[in-house]
Amino acid sequence: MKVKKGFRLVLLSNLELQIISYIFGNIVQLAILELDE
Amino acid sequence: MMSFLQKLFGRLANPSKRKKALLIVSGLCITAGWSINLLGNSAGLFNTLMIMSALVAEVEIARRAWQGLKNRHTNIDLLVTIAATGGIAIGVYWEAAAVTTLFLLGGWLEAQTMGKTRNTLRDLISMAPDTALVVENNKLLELPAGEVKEGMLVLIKPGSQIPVDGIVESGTTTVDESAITGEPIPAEKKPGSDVYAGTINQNGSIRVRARNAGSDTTLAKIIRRVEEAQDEKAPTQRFIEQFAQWYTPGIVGLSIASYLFTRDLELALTLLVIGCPGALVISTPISIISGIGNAAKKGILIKGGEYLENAGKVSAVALDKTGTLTLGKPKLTEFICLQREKVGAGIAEVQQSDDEISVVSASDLERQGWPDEVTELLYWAGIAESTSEHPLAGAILSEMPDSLDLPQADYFKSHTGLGIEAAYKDNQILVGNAKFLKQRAVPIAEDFNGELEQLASLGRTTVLVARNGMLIGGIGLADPVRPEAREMVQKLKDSGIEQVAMLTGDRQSTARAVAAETGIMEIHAGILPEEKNDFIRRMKEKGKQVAMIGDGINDAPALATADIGIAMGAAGTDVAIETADIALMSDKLLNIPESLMVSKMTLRNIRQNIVIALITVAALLGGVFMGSIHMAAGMLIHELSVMIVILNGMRLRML
Repeated sequence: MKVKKGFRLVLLSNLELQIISYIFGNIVQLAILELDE
Repeated sequence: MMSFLQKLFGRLANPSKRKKALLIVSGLCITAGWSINLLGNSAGLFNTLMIMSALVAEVEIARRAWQGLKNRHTNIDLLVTIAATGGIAIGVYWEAAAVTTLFLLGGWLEAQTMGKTRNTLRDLISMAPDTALVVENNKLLELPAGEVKEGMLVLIKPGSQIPVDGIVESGTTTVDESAITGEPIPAEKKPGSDVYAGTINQNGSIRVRARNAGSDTTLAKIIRRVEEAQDEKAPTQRFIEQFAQWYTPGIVGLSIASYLFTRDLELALTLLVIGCPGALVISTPISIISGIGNAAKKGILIKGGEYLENAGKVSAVALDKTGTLTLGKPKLTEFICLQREKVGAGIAEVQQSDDEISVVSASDLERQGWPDEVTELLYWAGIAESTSEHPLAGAILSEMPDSLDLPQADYFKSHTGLGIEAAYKDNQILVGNAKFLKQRAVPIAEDFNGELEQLASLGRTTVLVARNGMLIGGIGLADPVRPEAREMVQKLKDSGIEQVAMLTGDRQSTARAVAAETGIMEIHAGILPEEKNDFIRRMKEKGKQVAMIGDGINDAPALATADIGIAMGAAGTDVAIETADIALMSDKLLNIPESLMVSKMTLRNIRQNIVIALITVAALLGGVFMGSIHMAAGMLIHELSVMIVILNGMRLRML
């Protein structure tokens, strides 16, 4: 049970957070490039 | 049906199209799943759609993870694959679908960003129109620009973009060349001027004889070079990638070890995720791409990350004189004549006079017409120089009086850094510097030397002319110093360059006059191209990081020996684009300190990024071990550091 909880916590919820900021980072970069033009 | 499938698979073989297709399918599955879930209570269908979504997205991610493993790399794709597979195994289908689909979306966005970075540059210079108006037998033909052949005559209307590289045959106009040279002031064009594809014709209609079209144009070469440059890795980047290769397994080891010691699974997993070196890996490429892009906009072509890093460390600068510090377009100023016999129709028997010297200034000539002794001097110099490509030869030939009909030399040999020997009928002609004539045992009288010294002290270059072993006179030429030269030298000094030296094949006194005008303290005059090379080598041996700045062709060896070779006015000269590490597309001298400044800023930016990345990871790991930082906060701080690094790198574009 503990393993299942840990797995959900880390490899899913937090990975999701990491991926969302990765997406956000790329959106910001795209926006800057757009402004740059 | 078969052809549809073939087409589909063909499209899917292209990685970016495949990624997009998988992303769409996986996204549609999720949308459908949630819609069904909202409409009715059908858990079975919802879960099926989520599993489908996760699997579809995972195909691509697992493939990359496997590729990484084959190359002994552990990457984030592996982490996501494990997470999604595990998620499906323990029955959290929606999370598995969300993680994989979002990750795929992130990857797609990243590819867009990288493509956009390149496109910014491409847009900037890919203004070349697709078609060209070719004039053939007095008819206008519209051809695709790439199909224009060398020698075709192309009509360029006012306001339109020039489709090919070529030479203006008729008409005058001004052309906005900022796309290639970064120079905002339009250049005037008249018959004989070079024009480049991608530049904009402003007010006149011109006809251009095509030289290069399509992928052979200067523009296309610049694009290719910059693209290659952005891919080329800087030493720091290589180091960091090697570091990351050891770092990731190191973090995995640390996480396993901490679990074995503490039996705290959450701590172990937190370490695993937080330790990800994302900010570190992105720190160098983001700065390099931004730095090179910024420089390219100003007409400075930096060949790669390696050169950008080296240029940022430059401590000594060696400058060529002719064409770099000066305009490189010498004008005839004085004639020193030793004989006064009439030339007649051209070749006459001329007697050596009794060393009587007359100095005629070119400005007097315009008033009084050409005296015979000057015509005589120009005649012999002209025969020898007519086959030479030296800038001084161009100056002499361009001021040849129209009445003088120059015959072709029977024999011609150029001695780099010295002069030219030529033969015509029974006449042996030598044209060159005093060193050259002395080598050939041509006697130079004492008072003639005095005249030479006096001209040299005015910054003149004197070309001596001898015929059949006898000196017949000298031609004084002045090459005006570029107006911004002094400011450029001052800026170099201000930016912390310890040593600024001038290297020239010209004589000491001429060099001194130019040095006085530009504020350069160190002069190495009267040296040959090989000696320039030796000088650079000696400076390097003294531990200096040396930049050599020249106009590309005769300075080629020194440009190659220096840590950084910078070529001036490279637009149109392939040699410069190919051999120099940094090519300045315009003749704007101030781009030299500018390019060193951009390099320095980039280097500083990389260092800042590395410090940000390392401090964040170290602080987070410390916090996790002390128990004061938990997963969610740690992740947020970690991602924030990635963002700061990205933003810091992008700052370089705004300089």
